[in-house]
Amino acid sequence: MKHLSPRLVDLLEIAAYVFTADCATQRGTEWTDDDTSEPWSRNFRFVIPVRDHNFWCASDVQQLLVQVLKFLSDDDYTFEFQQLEKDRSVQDYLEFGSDENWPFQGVDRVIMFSAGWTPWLGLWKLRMAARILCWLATGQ
Amino acid sequence: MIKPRMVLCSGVTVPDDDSLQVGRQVIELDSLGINPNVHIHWKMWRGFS
Repeated sequence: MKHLSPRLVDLLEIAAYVFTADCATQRGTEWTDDDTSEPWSRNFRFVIPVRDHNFWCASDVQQLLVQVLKFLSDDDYTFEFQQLEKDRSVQDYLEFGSDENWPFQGVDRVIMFSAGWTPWLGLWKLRMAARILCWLATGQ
Repeated sequence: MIKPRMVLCSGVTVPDDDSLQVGRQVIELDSLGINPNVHIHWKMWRGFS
């Protein structure tokens, strides 16, 4: 495996933007409807330039993206993807060398890893299945 | 419910009178520009070898 494809770089950036917006936006605190409804959900509209514009603009892709985020957060999301005009100076994401001495040669699985206890459960489950794991860690 | 958010990413702009922006609080996030406020940095390490 060498560099990530443009589509996957898009996905990583979309995830980073959604994660950041989520962290930056607190949920409502005042109950509504005569104190019968908790104002839990939020409404986000994202405008994001992407490299693989045709893919991200496909209705089924956007539908799945919104469904996953709705399931995870109970928030409402809409996305508008634009064609990215000028890309970043390339950071070689996740470059795995072919040399056997390269520390990330022959990685079996790549998993997300964030703060909290739930990722540890996944690691515990995967520990016997994969010989070499690579963690993608997030931090604030 | 809190005010809906419009999240503008990577330096995109929309007109102030854009109908989709009306009533929304704007959040600008950028991981690509010269002054990014979202920093994507990947660290890799080997585990359970």
